[in-house]
Amino acid sequence: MNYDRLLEGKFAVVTSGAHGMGKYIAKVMIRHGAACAINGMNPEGEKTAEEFRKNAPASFFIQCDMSLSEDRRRFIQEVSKRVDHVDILVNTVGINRSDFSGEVDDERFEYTQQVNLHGAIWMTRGFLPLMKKTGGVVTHISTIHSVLGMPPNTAYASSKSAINAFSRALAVEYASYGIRSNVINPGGIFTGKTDEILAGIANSREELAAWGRRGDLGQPDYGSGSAYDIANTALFLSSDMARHITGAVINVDGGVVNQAHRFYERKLPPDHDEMFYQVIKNRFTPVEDL
Amino acid sequence: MKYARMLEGRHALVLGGASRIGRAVALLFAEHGAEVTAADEVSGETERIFNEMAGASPDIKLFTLDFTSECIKRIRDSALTEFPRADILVSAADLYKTGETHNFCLKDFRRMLDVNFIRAVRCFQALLPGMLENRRGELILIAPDLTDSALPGTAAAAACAGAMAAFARNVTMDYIRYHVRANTILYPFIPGREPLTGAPEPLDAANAALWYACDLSRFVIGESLSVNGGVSYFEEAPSS
Repeated sequence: MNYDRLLEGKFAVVTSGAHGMGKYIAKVMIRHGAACAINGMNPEGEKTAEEFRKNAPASFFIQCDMSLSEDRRRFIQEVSKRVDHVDILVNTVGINRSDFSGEVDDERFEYTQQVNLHGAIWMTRGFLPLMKKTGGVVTHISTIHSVLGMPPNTAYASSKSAINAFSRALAVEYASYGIRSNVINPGGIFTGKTDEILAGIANSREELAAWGRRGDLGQPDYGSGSAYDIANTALFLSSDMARHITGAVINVDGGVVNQAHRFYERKLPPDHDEMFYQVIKNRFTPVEDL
Repeated sequence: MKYARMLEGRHALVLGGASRIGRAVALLFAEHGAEVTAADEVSGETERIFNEMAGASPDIKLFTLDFTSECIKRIRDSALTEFPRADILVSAADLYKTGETHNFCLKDFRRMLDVNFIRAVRCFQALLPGMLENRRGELILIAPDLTDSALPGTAAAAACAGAMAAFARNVTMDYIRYHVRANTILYPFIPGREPLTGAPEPLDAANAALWYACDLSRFVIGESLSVNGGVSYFEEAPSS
């Protein structure tokens, strides 16, 4: 196995791959030899595709509103016209318009389901014919709120939890075609605007530490994770390193799901403040540097 | 990140180093730049396997141990000299027995716990001061995939696997702020039932161990990952 080029020659579809977490995922996949089809609502996503084409000429962007079934259909049709195989699908797209359970707004609930759940199911269904040819890997970006409660999260949590169940069903239904399906549950992850925030405070030790502490509440590990951590997990799952892993859910969350509750005595090193600062300073690799 | 040399500068101790998975882990970790020590019980079979490993990867240090209290004490006492920077501990021991609970010999159960779990805990304790000092440590426990799903005759093996997963999940909460974390890999107890075609090979468990050991998974803490082709999630459809 060539660990430096884990996805050589593969074609990946990364929804919402034009920015944020999706862009990290697509860039890591391109770094490993894949080409990517990405989508997003903003036409500026084309600029991301241009950047991708420098290293992966077959990459392209298609504008798409994942809440609209006609847009989803058009995206699938256009990708299917342009490539003859899809090896990897990463269902990254996700929005959160949640209310308390007793006050669920129909429109906001439906919109969240359309984007998060219907989006993932439609994309999977649409690309399965291309994946069935040679096998493939579907990775769903869900959330720790698919297994934990945090109010108010009704629409978001239910849509993502349904994705976890969908992934398990997909895993066993299409295993005989060599298609695998897994879920990543991100915890507190800084994505898109992190780079801008960090650029503004990078030279101030106090500001950087204060910013990091905002994500530290209740975390076993230091503060929040980086989208790079999610991208590297998607890479692992999409590659042959994980060729016998299917139906799995991986929490990439600094241990949040696995802690019994947040109020426990932690063993802190004597230089905890310095370690905290170093983690916050070094953890968030800007997407441009990948 | 150097993906082709993910463990450059790292030091790994692989317990059960002569087991099928232990061998694969030791060889893969060495390929990725780690300084590897493989340890296993003294036996003719261990000696034969270690000779093969020495041919395949001469840099791997091979230790035969008796794992008595005295031996563990030696590991603890010599941790700072023999394994001065051991920052990865993998337990790949693989001694499991099946049997219905009413017939199961308690002595066998105790030995199963000891070989697969207690030894790993004691070695981890021995290496922990160095890990805390160096602010880096990964404990990786490889257990049968019996923590969340059941098979007849496996209660004792499942209890052992459950103990390992719970230990990893909990011990990581103690030391994560020192960058010491623990995770578990669940490997098929009975291979050949997987929905995916073909049974997992030791290299598949080794790749999962590699992922846990390196920075690719640095925000993954206390997890259990099944490398079993999806068998844990599979319920056969009733025949019509």
